[in-house]
Amino acid sequence: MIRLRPERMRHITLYLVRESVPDVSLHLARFGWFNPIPSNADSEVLPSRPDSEYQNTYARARKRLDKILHFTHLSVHGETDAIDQMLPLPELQDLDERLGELWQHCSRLEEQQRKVSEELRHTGQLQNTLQEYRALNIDLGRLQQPHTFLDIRLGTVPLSEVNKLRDALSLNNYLLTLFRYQENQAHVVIAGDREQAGNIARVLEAASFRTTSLPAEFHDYPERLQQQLSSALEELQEEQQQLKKRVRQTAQDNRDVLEQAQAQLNIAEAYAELSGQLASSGALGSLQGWVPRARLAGLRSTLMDVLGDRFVLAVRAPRLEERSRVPSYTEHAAFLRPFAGLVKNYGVPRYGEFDPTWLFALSYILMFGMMFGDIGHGLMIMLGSLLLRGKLTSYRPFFVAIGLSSSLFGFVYGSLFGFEEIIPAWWMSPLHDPVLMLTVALGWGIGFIMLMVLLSIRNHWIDGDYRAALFSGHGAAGLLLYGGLLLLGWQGFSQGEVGAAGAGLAGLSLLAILVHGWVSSSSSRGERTLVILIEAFETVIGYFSNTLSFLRVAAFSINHVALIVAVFTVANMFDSTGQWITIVLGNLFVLVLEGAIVAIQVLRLEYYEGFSRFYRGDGQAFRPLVLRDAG
Amino acid sequence: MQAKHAYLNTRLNLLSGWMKRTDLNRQLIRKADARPDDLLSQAGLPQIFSGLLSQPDEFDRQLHQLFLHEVTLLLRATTGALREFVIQWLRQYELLNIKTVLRARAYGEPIDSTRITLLDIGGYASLSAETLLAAEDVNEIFRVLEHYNYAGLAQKARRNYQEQQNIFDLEAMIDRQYFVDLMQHFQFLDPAHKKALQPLLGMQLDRVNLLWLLRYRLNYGMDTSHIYYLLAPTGRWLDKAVLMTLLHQDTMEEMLQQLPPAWHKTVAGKQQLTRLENAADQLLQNYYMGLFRRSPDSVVRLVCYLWLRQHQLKQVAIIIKGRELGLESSMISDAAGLEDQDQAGSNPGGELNLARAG
Repeated sequence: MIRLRPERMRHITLYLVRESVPDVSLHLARFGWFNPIPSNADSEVLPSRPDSEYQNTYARARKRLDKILHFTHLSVHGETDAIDQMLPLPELQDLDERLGELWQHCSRLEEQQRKVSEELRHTGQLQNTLQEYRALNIDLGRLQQPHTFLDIRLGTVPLSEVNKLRDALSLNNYLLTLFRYQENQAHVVIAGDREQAGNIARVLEAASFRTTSLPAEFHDYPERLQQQLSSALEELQEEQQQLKKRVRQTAQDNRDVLEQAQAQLNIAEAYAELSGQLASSGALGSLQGWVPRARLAGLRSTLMDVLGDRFVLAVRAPRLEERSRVPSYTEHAAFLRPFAGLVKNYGVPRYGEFDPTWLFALSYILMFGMMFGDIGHGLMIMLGSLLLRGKLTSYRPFFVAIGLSSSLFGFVYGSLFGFEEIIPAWWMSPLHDPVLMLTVALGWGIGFIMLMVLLSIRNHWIDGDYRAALFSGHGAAGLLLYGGLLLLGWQGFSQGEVGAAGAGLAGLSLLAILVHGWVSSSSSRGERTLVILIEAFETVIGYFSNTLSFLRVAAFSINHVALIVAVFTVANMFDSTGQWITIVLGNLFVLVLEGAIVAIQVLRLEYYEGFSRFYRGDGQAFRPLVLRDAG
Repeated sequence: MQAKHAYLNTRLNLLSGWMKRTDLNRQLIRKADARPDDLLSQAGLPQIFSGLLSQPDEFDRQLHQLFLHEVTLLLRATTGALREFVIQWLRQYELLNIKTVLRARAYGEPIDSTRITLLDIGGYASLSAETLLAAEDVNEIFRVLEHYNYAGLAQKARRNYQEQQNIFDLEAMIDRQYFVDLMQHFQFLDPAHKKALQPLLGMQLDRVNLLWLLRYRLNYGMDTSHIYYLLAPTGRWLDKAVLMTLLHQDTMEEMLQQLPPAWHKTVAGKQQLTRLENAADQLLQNYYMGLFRRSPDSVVRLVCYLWLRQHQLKQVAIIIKGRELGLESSMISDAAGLEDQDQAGSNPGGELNLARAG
């Protein structure tokens, strides 16, 4: 199915009873073709009044569900098919509360996991610290025995805090000695007058000082301490495993509940989103949005199903002044979708604007083949597309198309993996007559640019900007200027002199462009003069450089052959085995590296020489109300 | 070096039009000005602000957005370490948000009223306000922070909070950490810029340390070691020795007596902390204004501009709120620190003394 422009849209205003909005939102989401916008119809009679309580409750519940799913590593599918009513607020609040309780449970588990991880790290650090004392072979407990006048503490503190803490402690006549550091943690001894101990408690806490407190049984020789720490580590690891098991158990126990919650929230999302766009007063409400014209009957039928005849639907075509705000939607055939993705990468077509997807696809495939023509390489690209997995499978038609084009041009050039004598060329090898190749590329470029300007004229005309369509640099005047310049060039090259026709055509159309620029600008006279002169200069230079830009189409086809010739030259230096290895590796190199370069160069030609000339790409994407996870 | 920053200089010159009139904020206070549109426009505020005079909260929000927009413009003219430094300077707003959410969760404040007080710093935020708000208790906030740029801060803060359950200590620690991180980013700047910026950043650190020290010592009666630990890195005049001397004094008067001349002259005789803060701000304002006008170094001018504009907009916000509440002009002047501006205006020597001393 080839679409030349986005689908025709209709603006709708739906007047309905306020209390029916929740159910209507569910049906509209199932309908899937209604793009809501903030309702401003009769704003004095029906002021904007979103259902904030519903929206806030939904948002909180959704966040809680997401956090639970993330924590439990669960992926649930919220099946909504069996639900035929919008979730009422009390039920949503109840769901939110239940999710809140479940999250509290998960949050406690997460906190316990964190504590165990921290203890593990701390115990690991203690083990490492112990290494320092292993050679001493003394009872470390002696270092911790209480002294009458002296307060000695052993502990860890972040390395960055040491100097500050040392200065701070000195105010209370305490000494701090750093004896080891590891992973930004400093191991320190603090000593001072026991009478001052109370004064330093707060500062030690603030500095994140952690006493290296060994339990009573750790007041022992390092060898034995090492064993004790190892068993402590084992216990912590066991506890960590138990916690993981509890998380899995929580996930398992609540899977059904979470699936149901997901489904309920998917339903509630429709009303939460729509209620933000609602205008209402008393029992009456109104909704506004855009629907593809072809889906209007479906919309009416959906509304009849849910509301009977208790609604008023006002439908109108988009106004000229609001075209930039009308969402645009084009349904493309599956094989065109990867190309549509590349077009959207540049911009979404404005409503009414020519959708360049098919043209892009056609010219891209053609240019790629011209620049990378080889039967074998094309087949490899097609076969390579079978390796695509996951989301990339949607790009398979793209690779099949450019591979096919490459193979077809391979027949035209008579090239199979660089061998030019196996299959006779339908036409000739690019290296056989480079000048002819360049002439063909130039002709292709001229045709391409002229087509782009014609499309630009058409887009301006549709937008009601008739002056730009006729007199701008990308309008009819621009086309005539280009024609005049081409005529001048052709006369100059073929006859050695320029004729009056070409000069007159180019001169008059340039004058029209200048006058149009002057009239369209509202800035001061000096600035206006400067701007239109620069723009006119840029227009002329632009046509010239854009045309020359297409020489790369021929240049790359010649380059392709030249690279293969280089591969064969190197291969000929080896014996039979080496020759074949070089040819295979060389072909692989050309396929990957040159293939990627050509793909990018074609995209560049499309975007800069093509799209920039006619395609605004500043449209609004069509975002219909839909149910998440809906089949 | 200056040619490299020609664009930055041009941007600064274009943005600094509001500096031409130094009495704008005083003019704004006068209730007789029924239509302060002109004054707002001269203060570099777009037309939209005159329509928001009766909505101080929205006015505040828009002021913040305006400031952020100006910082964005200036950031476009910076690269590398300088850009990172300015972004780190902007993190003060993110830390304000973190403190607000921590406080709200610790005291069980409603989420909606918390949300509207949070500041939007757009793309400069390392974690979104909604991510912070989704955390349902203080421990969860710490766990969230650990996943962003604040892992170190979260670990320290958690331990402190679990032992003390004291939000004040937590906030003081976050404030201190902000300046530690800022000075770390400062270390990566070009040596020439570092040399030029040292005195003016030092003055900011002096101001912060002096105010914190007085507040912690006199208002909260905290222990000297604890206070010293919570202070920001040392600045220009208030070095380690001076700070320790100050900590050993018992009264505000004794403390002010021990200050180096540059600061003593500014704050002598101030008996209230708010007055002292206003005087300190005024000293910085004069100093930065002088540097902005005279310094050939565009990076110095950039840092001066950021502080001056932030300070000016803060004053405008206070004035608009005061006007809306129908407060007396003198009270508004006091709150906005304009009383001290008058006094300094009659004796603008501070700026010259500092310049010579630096």
